[in-house]
Amino acid sequence: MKTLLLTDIPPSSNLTAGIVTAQMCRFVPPGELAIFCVQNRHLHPEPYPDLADIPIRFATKPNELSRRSIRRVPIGKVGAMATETFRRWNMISPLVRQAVAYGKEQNVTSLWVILQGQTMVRMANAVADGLGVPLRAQVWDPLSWWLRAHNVDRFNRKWDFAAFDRTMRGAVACAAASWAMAYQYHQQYGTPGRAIIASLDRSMACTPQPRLRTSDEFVIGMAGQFYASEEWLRLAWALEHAGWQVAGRKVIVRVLGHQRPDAIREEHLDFLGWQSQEQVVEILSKTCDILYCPYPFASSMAEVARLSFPSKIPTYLAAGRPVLFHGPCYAAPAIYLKSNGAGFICRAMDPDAVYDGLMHLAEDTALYQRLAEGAQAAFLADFTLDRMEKDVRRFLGYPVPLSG
Amino acid sequence: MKVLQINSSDLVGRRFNGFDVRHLLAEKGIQSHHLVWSKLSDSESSALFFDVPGSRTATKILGRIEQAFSLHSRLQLQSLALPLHRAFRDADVIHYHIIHDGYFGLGALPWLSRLKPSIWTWHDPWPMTGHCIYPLDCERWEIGCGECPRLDLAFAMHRDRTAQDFRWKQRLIDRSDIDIVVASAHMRRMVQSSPIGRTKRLHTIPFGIDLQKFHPRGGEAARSRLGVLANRVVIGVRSFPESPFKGFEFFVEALRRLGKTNVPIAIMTTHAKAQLNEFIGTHQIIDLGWINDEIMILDAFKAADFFVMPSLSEAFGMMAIEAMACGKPVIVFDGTSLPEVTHAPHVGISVPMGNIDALVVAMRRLIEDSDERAARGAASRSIAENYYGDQLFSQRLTDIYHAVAAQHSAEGVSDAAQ
Repeated sequence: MKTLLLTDIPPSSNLTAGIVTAQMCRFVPPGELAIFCVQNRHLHPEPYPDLADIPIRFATKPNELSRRSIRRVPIGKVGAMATETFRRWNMISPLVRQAVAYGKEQNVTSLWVILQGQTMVRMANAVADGLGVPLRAQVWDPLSWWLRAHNVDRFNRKWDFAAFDRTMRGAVACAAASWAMAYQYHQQYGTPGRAIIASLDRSMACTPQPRLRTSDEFVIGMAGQFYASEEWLRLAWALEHAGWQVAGRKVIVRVLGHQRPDAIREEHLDFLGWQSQEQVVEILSKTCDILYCPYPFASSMAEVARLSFPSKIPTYLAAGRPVLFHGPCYAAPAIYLKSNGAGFICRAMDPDAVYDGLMHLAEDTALYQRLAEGAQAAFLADFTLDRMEKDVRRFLGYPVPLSG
Repeated sequence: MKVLQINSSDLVGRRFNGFDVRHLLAEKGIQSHHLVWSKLSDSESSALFFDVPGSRTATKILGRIEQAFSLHSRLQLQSLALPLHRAFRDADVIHYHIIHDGYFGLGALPWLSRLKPSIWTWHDPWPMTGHCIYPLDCERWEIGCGECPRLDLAFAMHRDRTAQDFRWKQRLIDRSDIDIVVASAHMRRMVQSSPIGRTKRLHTIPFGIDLQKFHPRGGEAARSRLGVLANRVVIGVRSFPESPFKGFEFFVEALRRLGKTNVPIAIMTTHAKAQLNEFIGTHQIIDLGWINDEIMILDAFKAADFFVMPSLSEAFGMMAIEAMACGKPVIVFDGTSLPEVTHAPHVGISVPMGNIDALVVAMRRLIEDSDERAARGAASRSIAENYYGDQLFSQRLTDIYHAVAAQHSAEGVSDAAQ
């Protein structure tokens, strides 16, 4: 059995999606995986040495951002639609041909596609048909979010949704970003699905901390990407209104990731940049009091909130500190955290609501301890690599699990 | 006996438009139905008034035309079609509620009131003024309006037609064979001082609520559900920054002047959000926003320790009796219906209108003195049980329906005899 992974981000240590993909690749027996990566030319992924033996071929991904101008010449909505349609009809077929040829060369018997972005969606079915192998689809985020974020016009959106529907209906298995997404796609397409969420080695779990670290400082930890900028701003406003203190403690916001955040005063920001996962968990556990996860409240992002699951959550849970979830109560992470007693859910987006969450975690010691312990238990139950391995192997059609 | 309630909506204002007591009225032999412009319930006892395609859009357009010409409640001729509705024809008594918010042409009232025995509950003083819902400290409504100092108040006028509209209302109400109902002695005094209202038959019926639903039990559970931090004294307030009548700005200023208290406090607001951001970090702020969920409404009343209702005008004060029924004292300003409704100074606390320092003193008293809070809370519940139960409310309505119907038929006999 050999699987072709069709992806736009290869296994890599410096991109969130690349880290999760790498974890999944490690569960495939040696020699049974090949990768065809249609990569954005602006990305510079750093490969993992332990995955260097996996054969990989790269192709360049067409620009997926639909612009209303070309070289500063306005082309308007119609022009943008024409450009996107041109890409659809002229730039996908060559990529499909390359992927099929590569798959045949590798003698693959199965196709695993990560359906992130319109290019992958447009390619998936054609590659599966060309190879004549079963297709296994993986979804990180709802397609609607990607297409909106990339300004794809409504006609191309409609065609892409139809392609997505066809792919999902034809897939033999689906790896979803959350339990809610797996359930929805199973209901919608009849495709058996399972949630596959970024996970960590069990040994990285830090002992849950029963209380705040010190009596004069309150450190809010935040790792990963900033998808929910409005919510982040509300936190900043709340802290500004409160004079950068919570329950009489000076507030520090400690950020780990590629992007330096706006709106936080220099003297209250500790930006540590990109760190390895091991370091992230350790920093969050040892130097932060609570871990902040903003998520979109906007109604336009409701589907994303409902179905996606940020990979920072397992990292937070491993750190053994309470999570402050600043997102809608219908969001997949909110439902998970609430049902597992692993996080405090803010009741609204407003500054007073997020500050209220900070106050609860700062003042209610019993709550703090309960959530820290709940976080740890949730991590061990749902986000360790051994659990992920079982899910990945089932998704890829392997008997469960072979490796130890 | 069949009674038809006319109101803009069935669910909005359900506690004072008779919707919530229709089962109690039924027990007393009154079949109460609602005919409303905006039907929000799925109850069979309420129906849409003038359910004609395009009528809502047309009425909105008429509303804009009225606004442009500084008119109000004049052009909605569909009110003349009311007798075409079977519920109107079948009714023994028609009870009008809020009919002045843009769907009912008031000009039909004299004719309608001659067709059926009629009652009109004045939920606010608009029927007695040249244009405003509440005249605040203006007294020109007592002498015929004109030269209005506050044309900006709802329902706003571009040019001053208050004298003409005052005379128009006076003529219409004079010609209407209608009994007027108000909910408080404060409103009663206003009607008696009004050239428009003083000639009419006048009744005072305070509103009532379900005292089994609004009760003091379950406070701790409610606080937990709403996320009140431990040991906080919770102040409930309606956040109405845009309303010139609710006095929210006085509460904000009082909070600024309050300074440190010997117990931590939480402010729980309903309606508009994010109005107390300046107090983030000083007090716990719980903005509940617009609440439609009845469980949450009850939680809000039960979780609070006391309420501040600094209204500058109020015809009754439904929120006050809901808070009182939940055993919570209420702080109010003098000069509205609220001191009387809350039985201040013995039960509620009233302070001079607009006096922020006095408001601060009253708030501090209730924040810091838990015994006084408890005593006033228990007395509030007792007042609610004695005066503001829905059984009493429905009985009073029943009595007036019978009285008005009897009087109408007696007048009919007398007219026939003449």
